[in-house]
Amino acid sequence: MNLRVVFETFKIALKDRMAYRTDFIADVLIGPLIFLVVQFLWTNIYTYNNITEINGFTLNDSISYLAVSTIVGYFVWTWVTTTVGMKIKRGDFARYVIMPINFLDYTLVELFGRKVPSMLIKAPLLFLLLKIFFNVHVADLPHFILFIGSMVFSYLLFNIFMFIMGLLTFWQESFWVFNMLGSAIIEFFSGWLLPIDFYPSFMKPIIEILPFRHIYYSPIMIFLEKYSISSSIQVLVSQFFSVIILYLLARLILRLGRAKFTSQGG
Amino acid sequence: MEQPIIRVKDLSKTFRTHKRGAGFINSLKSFIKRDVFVKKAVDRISFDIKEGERVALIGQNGAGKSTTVKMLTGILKPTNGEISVLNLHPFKERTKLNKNYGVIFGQRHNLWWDVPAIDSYYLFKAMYDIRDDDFEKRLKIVRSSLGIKEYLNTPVRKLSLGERMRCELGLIFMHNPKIVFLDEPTIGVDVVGKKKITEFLLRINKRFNTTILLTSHDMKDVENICKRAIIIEGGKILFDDKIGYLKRDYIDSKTLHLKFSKPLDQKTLFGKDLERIGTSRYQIIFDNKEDIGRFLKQVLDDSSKEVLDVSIIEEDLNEIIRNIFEGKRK
Ligand SMILES: Nc1ncnc2c1ncn2[C@@H]1O[C@H](COP(=O)(O)OP(=O)(O)OP(=O)(O)O)[C@@H](O)[C@H]1O
Ligand SMILES: [Mg+2]
Repeated sequence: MNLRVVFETFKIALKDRMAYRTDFIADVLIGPLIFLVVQFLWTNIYTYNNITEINGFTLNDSISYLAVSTIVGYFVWTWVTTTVGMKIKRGDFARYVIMPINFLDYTLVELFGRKVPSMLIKAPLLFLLLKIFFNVHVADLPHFILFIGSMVFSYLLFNIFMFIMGLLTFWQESFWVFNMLGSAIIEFFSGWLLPIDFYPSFMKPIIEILPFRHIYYSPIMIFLEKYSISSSIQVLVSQFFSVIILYLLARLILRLGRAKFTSQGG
Repeated sequence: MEQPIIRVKDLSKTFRTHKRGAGFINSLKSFIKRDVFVKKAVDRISFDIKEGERVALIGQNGAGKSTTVKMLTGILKPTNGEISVLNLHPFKERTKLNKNYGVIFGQRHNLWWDVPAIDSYYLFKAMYDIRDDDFEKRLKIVRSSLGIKEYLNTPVRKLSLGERMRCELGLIFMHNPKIVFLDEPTIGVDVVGKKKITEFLLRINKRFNTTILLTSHDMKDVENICKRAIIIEGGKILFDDKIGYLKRDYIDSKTLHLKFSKPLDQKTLFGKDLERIGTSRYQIIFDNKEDIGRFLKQVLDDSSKEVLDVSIIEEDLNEIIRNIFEGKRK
């Protein structure tokens, strides 16, 4: 897709999203809730056992990790699997076959457009609150810039992977199962709630091979300045290659799936 | 004439579906062992369409019309047979082909739901790489001939079905497609709207030589828009020729209405049965081989009766098609 198409798609998706303001408010509340519960847990673990550091993480580090994780969640999380699954099951996928676009590229841009209101309003707002109430760590400018770059890759990794989960609907129609499966895989292998440093050591090689740590763990660690500038850049490069591999995989699966498409629903 | 731009030879599509019984036990059963059954939706059809032709695809529900259109547009992968549109394989060479055609599926939509239609037009402008002046020019044509000027700026979800269909129709002409596939494009459109659509399609066809493949259950639309009909039934082609020939070959009767100055006191007239349909109005049915002209001359020459009005009613396309489907064809 050329840039004009990207821009127009983005614009229309943003406008489309703005048509509904109520569910916008609804998901402002969900992220912080999980944060509050786990934060509570952390505070108790640290103070009850009277420890200052676990695996190199102070209480403030752990809470900050969680806070940034919530913010990253706002940036990356979309309904891509169910959206794609529904389009395939109901036959609306046909609409994208007849347009001169690639369904994957289009979906990524469209969902990004729908995402923007929450990124630009909710995320900064929430971060400000977390900063005020929990004294969350704030990155210096170079790390902050790298963090933003890293989150773009996080967005792509999350959504391309979950897009692939949605594509499985071409073979089996229960896309909500794929949605749960995909979410579970990401939540488990990405360091969503817990820094990977806390995982048992036998898990670490597996996690190193898989791309999922780049969705939550990597950008958060950059933001918390746990990585130097140069190793942060290395992380970005590694993220970039994960994106490329996953992207090519998604294109391949899309191609295979398209031959299975039956265009149900008349 | 020129090379055909759509060529289909022995094209087939079969769907494999799983039968699932009703009830909990049956759905458990089907989870473990599934009965596959095969549905031949399109069965070895062949036809050519030349550039600028206006062709109707006619058939009963489930005949395979939409399936055919979906194969021609690259949505479905054909199971067997040859298919080419503008010398490209629609499924394999989708990206090369799809800037050259436009598609409407009456029961689906291309327009974005929550924004005004005009926004979708601008998105298409970018997608199809339409030049600014071309875009403005065509928007003008579409806006006035489809009468959608006031609809374009309303969020699509707030339009009525017919209003939306007209906006959808305009959209697919913005990139000046060589071929348009219209699968029931007049669903929910009122008579005035239908007339506008018909005139619009004829105008576009004449001006840009756009090839039209239409499916519709409304034979008036078919007659008004198309010159040629392909009739399919059970995935097979039954008839493929000019609509005029369809009338010539399949009409089996004509009806004559006569109005006299006063009621007649007879049951037959020159050997034909009279059926009274008004005080002094009668209906006489002729089969195809009979000569209505000679009969009429006899009646008019008969000085004992005064004829006030004459009308001859042909079977319309609806009845012809119904006869064909009911197996009454000759
Ligand atoms: N995705 C599918 N899976 C299984 N069978 C299908 C599928 N799509 C269509 N069919 C079957 O193929 C046949 C042809 O369907 P198609 O949609 O082409 O009919 P149609 O001529 O367009 O009918 P209508 O006038 O109702 O739109 C039907 O019997 C239908 O049940
Ligand atoms: Mg149909």
